Amino acid sequence: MSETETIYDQIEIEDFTFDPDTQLFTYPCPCGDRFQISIYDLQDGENIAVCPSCSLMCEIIFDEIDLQEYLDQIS
Amino acid sequence: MGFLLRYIDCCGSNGNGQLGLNHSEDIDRPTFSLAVNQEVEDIAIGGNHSLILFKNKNLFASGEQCGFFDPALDSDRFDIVQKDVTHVCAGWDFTAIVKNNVSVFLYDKNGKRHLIDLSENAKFMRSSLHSVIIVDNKGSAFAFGDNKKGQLFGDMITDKIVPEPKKITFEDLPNSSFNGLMVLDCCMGRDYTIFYLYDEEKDTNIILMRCKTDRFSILTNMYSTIGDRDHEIQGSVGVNKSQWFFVDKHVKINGLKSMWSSVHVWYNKDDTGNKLVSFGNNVYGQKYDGSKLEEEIDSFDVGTEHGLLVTKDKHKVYAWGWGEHGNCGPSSDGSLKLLFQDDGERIVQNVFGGYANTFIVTSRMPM
Ligand SMILES: [Zn+2]
Repeated sequence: MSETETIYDQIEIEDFTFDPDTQLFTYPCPCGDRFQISIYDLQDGENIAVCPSCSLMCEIIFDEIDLQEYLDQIS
Repeated sequence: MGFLLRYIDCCGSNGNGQLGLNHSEDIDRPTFSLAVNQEVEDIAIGGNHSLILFKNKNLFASGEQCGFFDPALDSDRFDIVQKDVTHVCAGWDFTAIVKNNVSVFLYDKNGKRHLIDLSENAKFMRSSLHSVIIVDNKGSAFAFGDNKKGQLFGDMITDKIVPEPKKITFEDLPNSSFNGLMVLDCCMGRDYTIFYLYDEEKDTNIILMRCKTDRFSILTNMYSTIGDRDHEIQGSVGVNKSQWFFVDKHVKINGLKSMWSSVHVWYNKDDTGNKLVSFGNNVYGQKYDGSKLEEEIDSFDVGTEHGLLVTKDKHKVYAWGWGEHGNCGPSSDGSLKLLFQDDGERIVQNVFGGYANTFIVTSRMPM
């Protein structure tokens, strides 16, 4: 993501819901849909979650070490 | 008398039919949804559902399972869902109601739960995505839901989720002379709460914030504008902590509302007239700039990231902030824009902001 894009807000990883089936972290967006980002994008160093219904983007706050408990949930 | 007829017009985010327009497309101009021969008491808007409470205690709903999370209720038209309701609020995926002023019920994907019977009548309810605060007639507050950032209970209850209503106390304020602080008002952002408190003994008002990080410097900027400069800001910000200040004795707060990341205070200093001032995130123009508005404000409300106001003549509604779903009208750029002007025969009673949507209540003027 380029630095000129507007980040709406910062949201901590503990606030997201992780679905082991889709491997997606999601969190409510002010529009009524959900911000989403895949755990593999987070592993690649990506930290911007996007909403499929609007242009809002949020920065997900996490440490690499936080990801292990979620990776363990994927069978 | 035949003057009770109320019209409800809406616009904005409508993916689950929450505007009650018989379809599920977003719409960028206020569009007629419902007319009822009753005064509107309140409108509560959740992530994908909306609830209209009328003075006769009938509750109407539209949108995702009508907010009662019963698949049989899924609808894109407003229809009656409950009676005897006196208070209502909505979150991301729940509805909380008070029946006959005392009985609190929660409806979510786990079904219906009777949470508590209050010992005093409820005065108002506030909600955010996953939290609810109920304040009674004596100024006591009870809360349940998401407390991960300490946003409800500060130091007093540190559980991350509080499933049943518990009393909110302010005993974490180190000054032991605070006795029985009353909650006059409160508002919740995405992950913080601002309380407006009254200390009867000292006849002083206090603004108190509970959150993990005040990353938009909301409290310090509120202090600069409405704080009593003879005292410093007290306490600190952080999980299960409280930060607060004394309100300037010349300031009277008449409205306190929060989008997800900004707080909006409508206040009067030394009787010089009401002013609306905003604190917080401004990346989409969420902070109110009324410099071009020549008219006075009659009332205002905010949604998740947009604001709405009614002019003193009650004929116009202006909107500002994030309007991507048409919730601020067709040509929204963040700045204050005229959203609705009546045809000369109606007056605007109230406005309500939701999850990128807007509800306007009007009535026909007596002939
Ligand atoms: Zn969105």
